[in-house]
Amino acid sequence: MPALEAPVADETDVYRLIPVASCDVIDGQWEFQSGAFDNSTPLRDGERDDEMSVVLQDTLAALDRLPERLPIETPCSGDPELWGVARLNIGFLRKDEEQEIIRSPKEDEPAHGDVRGTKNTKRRRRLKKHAEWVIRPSKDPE
Amino acid sequence: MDTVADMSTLRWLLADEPRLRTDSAIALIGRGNGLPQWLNPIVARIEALAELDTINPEVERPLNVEDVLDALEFLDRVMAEDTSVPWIGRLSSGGVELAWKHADVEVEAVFDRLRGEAELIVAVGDNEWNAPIAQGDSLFASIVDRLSNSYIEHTAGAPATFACA
Repeated sequence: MPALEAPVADETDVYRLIPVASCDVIDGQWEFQSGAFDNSTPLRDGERDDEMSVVLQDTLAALDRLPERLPIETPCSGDPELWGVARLNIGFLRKDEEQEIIRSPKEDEPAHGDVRGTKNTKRRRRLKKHAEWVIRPSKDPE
Repeated sequence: MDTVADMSTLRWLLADEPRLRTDSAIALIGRGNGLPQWLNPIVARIEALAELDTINPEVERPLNVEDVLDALEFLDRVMAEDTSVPWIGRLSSGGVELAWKHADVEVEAVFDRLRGEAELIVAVGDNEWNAPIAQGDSLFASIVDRLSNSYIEHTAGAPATFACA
């Protein structure tokens, strides 16, 4: 498994878990919207508010795990069928969007990472345009 | 005629509002000969967003009623009778995102007081324009006809995107 300080390669991806609440239904399918790529807003003072939680592809692969199974395997609030997984390229996040990729493993998700940097309305929109589904939420969109 | 008293869902919306904003909201929802057609699905969606079970309270704030009212007031200004209902989402800050998409027209409006964001983005094909919400009415007016249900049915034979369940 990659060390905490190991660089994260530009050509690899991060995976973002997306709930159906952040998706519209277009042509009968879940489609994520810009707000799906939002930074966290911690309740406690002193915690960072410029980070978006992701799962790192290289660590996930080293653990012999598949991104398609993240809604089941990684801790999510609510039913796993309410969650899908989208992919974003790390080189795009770094070079085009001035984001920093942080390894931040958690006890219940060793592949956890953060995409650190400001994400305003326009940037969230660009992230939406760039991202692709790995797996849509399994809940029936109708 | 519909009245505020008939709209039990709005009681939640108005419950904790400061007096002035409440008066403004009541004026909005009780105006004229009834409620605008878009209000019921909007309020139902907002209620659903307020009670999501996919929220992580450690890193996501409750829906901000001030942002909700900002969004409602924007809709009241710009929606025509036949304008399709936008999709509505919530941000981790508790802010509100509105989105319309039909053919090559995309519109996003964000209401987020915690982060100081209030912005309208309109895209037609590869062209994109933006404006602060306070000055965004004319920008929205430039594409409102293309977001009408009648236009959408006429051009695509299919309904617009609606707020998801």
